[in-house]
Amino acid sequence: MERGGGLVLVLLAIRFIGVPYTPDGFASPHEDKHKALSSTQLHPLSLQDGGDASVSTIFTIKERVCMAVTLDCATLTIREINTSIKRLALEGEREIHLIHPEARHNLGVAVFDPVTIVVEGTAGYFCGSMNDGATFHVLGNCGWSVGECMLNGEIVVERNAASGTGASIRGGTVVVKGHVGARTGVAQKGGLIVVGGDTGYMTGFMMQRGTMIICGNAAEGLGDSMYSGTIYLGGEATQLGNDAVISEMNEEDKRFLSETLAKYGLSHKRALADFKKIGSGGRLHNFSKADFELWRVAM
Amino acid sequence: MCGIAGILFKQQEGPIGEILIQMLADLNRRGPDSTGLALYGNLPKGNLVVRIKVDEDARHESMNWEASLVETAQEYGKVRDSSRAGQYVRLVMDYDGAYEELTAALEASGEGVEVFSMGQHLEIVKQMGKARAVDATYGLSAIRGTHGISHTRMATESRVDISHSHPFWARPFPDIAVVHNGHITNYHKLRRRLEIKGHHFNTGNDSEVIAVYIADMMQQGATLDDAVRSTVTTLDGSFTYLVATSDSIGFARDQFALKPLMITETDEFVAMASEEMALRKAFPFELETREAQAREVRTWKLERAASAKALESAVAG
Repeated sequence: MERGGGLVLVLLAIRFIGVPYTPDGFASPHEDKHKALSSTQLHPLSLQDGGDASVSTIFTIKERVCMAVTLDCATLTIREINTSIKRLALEGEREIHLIHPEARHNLGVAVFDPVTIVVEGTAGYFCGSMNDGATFHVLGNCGWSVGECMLNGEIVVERNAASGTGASIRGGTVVVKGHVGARTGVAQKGGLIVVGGDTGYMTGFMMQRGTMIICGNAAEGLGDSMYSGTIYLGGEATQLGNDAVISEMNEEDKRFLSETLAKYGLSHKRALADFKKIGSGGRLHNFSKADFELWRVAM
Repeated sequence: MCGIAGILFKQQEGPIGEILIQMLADLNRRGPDSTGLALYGNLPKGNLVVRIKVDEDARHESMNWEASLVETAQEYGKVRDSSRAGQYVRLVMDYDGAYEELTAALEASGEGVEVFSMGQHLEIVKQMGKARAVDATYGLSAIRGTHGISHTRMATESRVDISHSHPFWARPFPDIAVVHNGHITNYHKLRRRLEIKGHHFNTGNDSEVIAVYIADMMQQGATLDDAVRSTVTTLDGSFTYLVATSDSIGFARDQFALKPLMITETDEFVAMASEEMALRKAFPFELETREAQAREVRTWKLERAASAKALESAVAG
C-alpha cells in the first residue's frame, strides 16, 4: 500500500517538477538542462543511474522530491560538495542542506542559480563567495570572507563571522547577526552588508559603492579612504579612518535602517536614534597641496 | 603561511599530545615543512628536563651522543634519567645553577648540538615533516600534561631544517616557548640590537627574535605579560603568536589582524588554533568560538589545583 502510494506520489511529482536525480554527468551548459528535464518527463521511470525502478530508488526519489536535499559534508570533498550543489541547482532543486560542515573552507562557492543553501553548522573561509543569485543561511559561525565578490543573492549568518566579511561584493546582501572581524566590506562595490554586533579594524576600507550597517562598535580605521557609499554605525568607532566623515541622517536613511533591521530581526540591537551616517569627505579624490597633511597620513 | 595551535587544561591534566597532534594534522595544510610542539607536563623526578638536538649526518654517526651529553651534564648536576629518540637526547637532572651556563656547556660538547628546550615542565619536540610522522617518531599522542603550544611550518624567509622550526625556547629562561605565524619585518634591526646586548641566536628565522626579545625584556625585569604586550608595538610586520610558560599560555595579535586565530573556551579548557577546522578535528562537539582581535593580548593560567599537583609530583619524584 505504502509502495503503491509512494509510486503515485513520485509520478505526480515528476509530472510537475521533473525527475531531479542524475547522479552521473554534470550538465554544464544551460541549454542541456532544459533538454534533460523534458526527456526524463516522458520516461519517468528510466532512471539515468542505470537502476530499474526498485523500491529503494523510488523511496529515494520520493524523499528528494518532497524534502530538501541533504549533502553530508563529512563524506565528501569540497569539490564533490560544490559540484553536487551546482548540478542539483541546475536540475531544479530549491533547497540544499549541508550537514557536518565542520568549519570547512569554500563551501558553496560560485553558485549561479536561485537555490537556497542551508549550512547546518559553522562554515570556514569563503562560504558563498562569488554568489550570483543563491540564498545562503549559515546556522553557526563563518570564517573569513563570507560572500566575497558576491554579485547577487543573500547570505545570512546566524552567529559570528570573521575578517573580510563581504569583501568586494558588487550586489546582494550579506547579513551577520553577531560580530565580524577586520576588513569587513573592504573595497565594497555595491550591495548591502548588515552586522548585528561589532566590527573590526579597517572596516569599509576603500569602499566604492553600496551600503553597510553596523549595529555595534567599530575598531580603528572605519571607512578609511572610502570613495563613496554609506556606512551606518550604531555604536562607537574607536577612530574613523582617513577622510571618513559623519553627516546628517535624513528621513530616508532612517526609514531604510528601520526596514532593513526589521527584515533581519535586528531592530533590538540598537536604537534608531543612535545611528550615525558615515561617508567620504571627498578630500582624497583629487590630490591637492592644501591637503598634503591628509595625504601624508593616508599614505 | 604556518599554522599555530595551543591547549590548556585549567584544573587537571589532559590528553594534550593527542589534541595537539589532531589539530596539527589538520594545520599541516597551512604548513607542510615541519611540525613542532612545546609540551608541559608533570616531571616525574629531577627538577629540570633538557631536550637537545644532535645531528644525524655521516660525520656524527659514530658518536654516542647520549653518553657524551650525560657526561657533560654530570659536571653540573645529578642526571637522573637520559634517553635518545630520533634526533633528540633527553636529560632529566637536578640543577640549581645558571641556565645559560648549562646550555652553553652542553652545546659546546659537539658540532651541531643545540639545546632546544630547558625547564621544569617544558619539552620541545620539533621535526621536519608532518604531524603524523612526528607523532610516530616520538609517541606524542600518548602524552598527557597541563598545556602545550604547537606549530606547522611553511618556511617563507629562512632555511627548511629542524633548527629553524618552531617552537623557539626563550633561552635561557626555563619553560618559555613561542610559536609564530607571520613575518617580522624589523627582524634584522631587532636582532642586531639584541646581539649587541649579548643574546645568542641559533637560526636565521625571524620568528626566533620574538623568543629572544621576550627573554631580553624579562631579563630587564619585565613580567611575561608586559613583555608580550610590548611586542604588539615593538614588532613590525604580521604576527599572531602563542607563548607558553610553566603555568600559562597566551597569544598576541598584530595591529593589522593579518594572521588568523580562533579561540574556544569552556570551564575545563581553553584551546586556540589558526583555523576553526583544526579545533573541530580535535573536539568533536559543539564549540563556541571567537576570533582574536587586532592588537589583542590574552593569557590563561593553570588554576591552583593543577599547578599544585605538578609541584607535588616534582617534589615527591
